[in-house]
Amino acid sequence: MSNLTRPHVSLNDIVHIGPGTLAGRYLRQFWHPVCLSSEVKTKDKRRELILGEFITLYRGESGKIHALTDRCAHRGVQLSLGWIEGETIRCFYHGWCFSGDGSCTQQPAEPKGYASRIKIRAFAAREYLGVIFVYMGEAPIPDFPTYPELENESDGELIAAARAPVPCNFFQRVENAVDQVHVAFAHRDVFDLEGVPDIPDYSVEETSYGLCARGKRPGKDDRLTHFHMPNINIMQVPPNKDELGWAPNIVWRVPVDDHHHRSINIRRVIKDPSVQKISHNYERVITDRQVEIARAILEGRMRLDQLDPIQDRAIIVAVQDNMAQMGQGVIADRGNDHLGHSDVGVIAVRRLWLEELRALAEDRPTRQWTRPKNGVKMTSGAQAK
Amino acid sequence: MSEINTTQSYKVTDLDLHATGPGTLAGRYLRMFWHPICLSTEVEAGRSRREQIMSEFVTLYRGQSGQLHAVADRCPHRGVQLSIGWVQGEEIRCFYHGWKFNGQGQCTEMPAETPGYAARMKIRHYPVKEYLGFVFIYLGEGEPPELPRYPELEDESAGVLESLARFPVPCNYFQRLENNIDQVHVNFAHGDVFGEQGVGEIPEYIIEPTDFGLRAIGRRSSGDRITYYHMPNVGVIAVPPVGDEIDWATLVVWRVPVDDYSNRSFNVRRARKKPGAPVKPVVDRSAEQVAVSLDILAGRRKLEDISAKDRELLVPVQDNLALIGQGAIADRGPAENLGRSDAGIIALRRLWRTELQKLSDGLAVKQWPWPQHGMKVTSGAKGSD
Repeated sequence: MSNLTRPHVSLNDIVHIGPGTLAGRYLRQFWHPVCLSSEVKTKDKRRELILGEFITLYRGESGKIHALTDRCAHRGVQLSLGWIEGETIRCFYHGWCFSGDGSCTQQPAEPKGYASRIKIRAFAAREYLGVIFVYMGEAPIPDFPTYPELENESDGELIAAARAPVPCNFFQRVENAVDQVHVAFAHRDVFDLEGVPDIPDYSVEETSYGLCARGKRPGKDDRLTHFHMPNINIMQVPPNKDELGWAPNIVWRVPVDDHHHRSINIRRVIKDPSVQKISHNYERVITDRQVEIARAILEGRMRLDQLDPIQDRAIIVAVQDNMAQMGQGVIADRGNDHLGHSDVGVIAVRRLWLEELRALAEDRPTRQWTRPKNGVKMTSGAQAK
Repeated sequence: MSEINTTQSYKVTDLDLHATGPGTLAGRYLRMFWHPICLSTEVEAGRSRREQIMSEFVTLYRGQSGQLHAVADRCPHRGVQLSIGWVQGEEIRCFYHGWKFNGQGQCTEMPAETPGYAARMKIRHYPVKEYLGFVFIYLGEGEPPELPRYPELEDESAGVLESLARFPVPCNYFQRLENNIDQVHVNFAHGDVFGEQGVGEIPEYIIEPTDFGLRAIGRRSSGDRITYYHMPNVGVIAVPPVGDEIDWATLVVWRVPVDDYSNRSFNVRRARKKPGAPVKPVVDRSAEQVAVSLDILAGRRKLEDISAKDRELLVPVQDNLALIGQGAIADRGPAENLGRSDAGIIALRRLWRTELQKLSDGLAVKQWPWPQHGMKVTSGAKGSD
């Protein structure tokens, strides 16, 4: 292929994720979490926006989860307004009924034969570790990746949190999580309290799943964090209020649309036995505040030092990340960046993404990312050597 | 097809007056002057603050010494808002990765980078000065001019100095400038208040060019009301007493673009109070004034519902109604129909077109020195001057 016809792929291609976009096509080759299992009750339904598409999630009377496009094929009403009947959902407007594979099974006011010719998009859906995942790409459906790091029930209570959308592009969040240097500034209060105060000597290496990042600090074990293509971070996070010790954490950075993303986290925590159960609702409520407080700080209506790194631990780390990512603008202007050698993680994650998007643009196969059977090793960097 | 005449200069029109972003003609012109940007008290020692002026975001911070600094609001590393950073000594450190900048915009430290990189990194900085309770900034090229002084307001025996940085009003700044040089509107938009204060008659209106801009004389049987316009965006006028005040006061007011669709007024005056009147803090009601104005324009409230006694609310609302009501950017094209009583507006636009034409043609613009001993305003009310 000559240079003249070779498509030019740049950093600007990573941020646009709607149907048909390059990054959107790439992300659709993977499973993504969309909401918590507990958010869709039996015989209930819910609308979510993910990768710029609205989908209807519903749980049939059997308890099985289904995912369809959110527009009724008849006159375009949100299907998520409808009623669940058995394993089907009936449109609120004129009663067209759809099964979980998208087939129209009934049109109460139409002649017979029309329904069998109507089909809407259906998405593969499954549940894992308290979270609902969907696959929005073309067939064949890839294997569902599992995370043995979080499957061991003796490691503590499983806590899944679907955080509120943050009003900036997902890739700013992806870059942030392969950047261990920022914790010494943006999170310096919390990481200092937890024994990780120093700026690390920072390096990343490419792996079969993406990147392994290592932060070396004097007198401490290395902090090991991982990036799984295309949008997953695995790392130990400092204990939240009423928790004991650093917790293993997996977090997906999922685009809502080009201008919003959400983080869906799963972690296992050892709770302080003297404290009452941590409720999932509590986690849900605080995620909205994390965005509102960051916005207030960026607009000068509040200051970060009005939060306390101990009392407000449940929100402060996310507020600090939101300040940095929202503070870069809705879509960061990467053309005016000045990167340095401590940005090796940011540089590496951009390179992996650009290589994959180039392959896609040139109709070459993209890479198969595989993870070790027993998971990856993560360390906090807080332990004395 | 006629040939394009490349030797003919660009002809400036009234449509060049409103756009003030970097690189625009009016923006380049306004950047040749100092402008107020916030109150001195709004930037505490050791703190930072973000402001938007002429479509640019600026980080203002006050070093621990009390000295004020202004730099561009984006860290050159990865584009985060510098204003959320930490002030250390006379420098500001970025919240995200700790890059540090001094008041000259020079990067002095990059904690996680190799030495030598910082010395090559510089961001924009802006000269700042404090005067009459405001922070003034110079956003232009090269050495700033002298900061104009207003001796009318420097006499401490003439009452209490009251400085207000008013809430942004959602319309272009030039509408505000035009309103200031239009004495006729007070008989209608403010007919109730000015009538009660003895300025109820429609004046014979005389506009005279001066070395500093324009003098406007509103001749009524009760006396002359004399107001001034100081290029490029300053009004000097007599305003009726409010609350415990005993006399008309001299007001100096700057109309500063926030962006092309909003502007702020910076008002400063000295007001003589009734002997023995309690000293009260200045209450800025400008946010309420904008909210009420938008309610009235949207039909949710009525102007008549504002108590005539609540003059501090009523007069600014009346101005806001007129100016926001012209649209975010007033249409100065064929849709408007000026008359003889619009002499002030016609003269103001002519001054501006003349200066912008010189700027466009690469010629020196005129200097507009405010008289060394100030100017005397008169209210036009019988027996008051």
